[in-house]
Amino acid sequence: MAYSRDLLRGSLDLLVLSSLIHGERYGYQILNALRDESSGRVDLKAGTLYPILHKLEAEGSVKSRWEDGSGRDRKWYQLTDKGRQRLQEGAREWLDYAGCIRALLQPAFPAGAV
Amino acid sequence: MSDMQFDAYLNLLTRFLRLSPRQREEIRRELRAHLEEAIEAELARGRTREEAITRILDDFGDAAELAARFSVLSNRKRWIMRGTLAAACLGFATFTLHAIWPEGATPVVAENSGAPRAGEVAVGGAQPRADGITTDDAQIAKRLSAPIEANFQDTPLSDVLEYFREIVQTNVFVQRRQLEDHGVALDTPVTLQTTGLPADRTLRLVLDAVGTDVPLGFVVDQGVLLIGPEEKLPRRVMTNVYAVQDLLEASDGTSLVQLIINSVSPDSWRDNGGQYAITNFDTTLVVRTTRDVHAEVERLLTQLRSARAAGSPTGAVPYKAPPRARIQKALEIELPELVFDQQPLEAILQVLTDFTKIEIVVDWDELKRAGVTRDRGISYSSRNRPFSEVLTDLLRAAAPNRPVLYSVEAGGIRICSPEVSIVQAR
Repeated sequence: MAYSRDLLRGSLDLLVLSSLIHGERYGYQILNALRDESSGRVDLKAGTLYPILHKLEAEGSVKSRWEDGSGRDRKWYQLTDKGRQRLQEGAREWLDYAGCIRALLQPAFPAGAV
Repeated sequence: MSDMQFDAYLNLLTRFLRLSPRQREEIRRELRAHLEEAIEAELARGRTREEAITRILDDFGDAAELAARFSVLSNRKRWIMRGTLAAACLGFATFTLHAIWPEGATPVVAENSGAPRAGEVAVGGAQPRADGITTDDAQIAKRLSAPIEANFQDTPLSDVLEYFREIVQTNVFVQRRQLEDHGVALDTPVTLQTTGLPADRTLRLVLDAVGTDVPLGFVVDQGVLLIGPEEKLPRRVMTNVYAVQDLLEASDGTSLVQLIINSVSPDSWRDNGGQYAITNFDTTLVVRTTRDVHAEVERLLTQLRSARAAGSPTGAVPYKAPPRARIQKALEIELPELVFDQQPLEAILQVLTDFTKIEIVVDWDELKRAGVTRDRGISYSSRNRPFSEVLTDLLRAAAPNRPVLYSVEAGGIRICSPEVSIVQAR
């Protein structure tokens, strides 16, 4: 089941940055990669992704280039050093947050249920 | 649904994007590339092309919302565009019509194209085109006279002019070469904040601010809003006859002529060494001037009429003091005790605005050239002195060497440096 937008909101930037960790991708690929790697649970809409890429580029976390010569019109994105650093710091914070939330929510279930 | 549908969507989206033309083109190209890619995948799953496009459009979501997401997330200096709300609604109406339009007859939301084509729908009756773009000079003039909000913070001139294109919804042609020849680059940053001034007045403030070496101007000419150096603009001079019997009563028209000469484009009339003429003949005024000055004359006459209608017992129009007069009055108000200790000039002016409820428009670019910046700290104190004197003192304190003056204009007080524009308070 896909996660709700509310739940995803704070981590979208990081998810997009993370999808670029192994190299260049274009928008359509990023959507597919996030969907596949999350078993369909992170299913972003195009209308969500492109503004994020636009913002990440404006703040210098990613840079882009247009593919030329192949006849295919594609805008490829790659992480910058700044983006890589942001991803690491953000990921560290998120994992810590997740652990904390887990501990806080634990009482919702009988012992050993989660 | 068809490919045309996607074009219509992209056109609409691009119109909503509050970004530079280059950025908008970039986004448009990227989304189109996405469409191509996604269509292939959808077709491979056995969907028809129509189904595929519908699904992908769903994925993009509402055009206005998507545009807002791009613009809000953008790092660029942004500007408020409340003035174009109506235009945006119009765009929506158009898009909805497209959605229910029978296949094959789908009209295209075209930007800046010429005459209306068959199949296009007029929305709201008053608009000649489905997309709200007009090529009718009278319509353009009307839109230029509507009050707008402008909030430019170091916004490039090209974006500012783009804003006016959105507001007036017409073809805008900028005489780029001529501007650059006169040292006005399209990326010149503009900082200006106004509320409730007509679009043409606001545009003039912008052009005054950037046209330092040469006066810039604009003219509405055969469906195009043309912007460039004043001297290079085609000035279409025409002679109009205005029936003014209702405004004369006791006087013979001389005072009306004088009133117009004093208030509308004063330097352009022959009496003041200009080249245009105004004569009163019987109960009419014969005015020979340019098209846009005619528009201002007309506006003044309309204002006089509504003021008069309000004064008469049968008048249905509520009387509203002319803004200029109201401001003059406000300048006479005594302000209570004011103490500023090295406060920024901008903040001080804001305090005065809050106090007097009179808008103070400052052209910071212009003032910068007179050596005054918005964060210049000023120490000043006064007690029970008129607003006008306080203002004069403050400006003197801000720029001890080069005079910085204020002028009273319809809608507010403008602060300027007389080296650039000589509009002293009357």
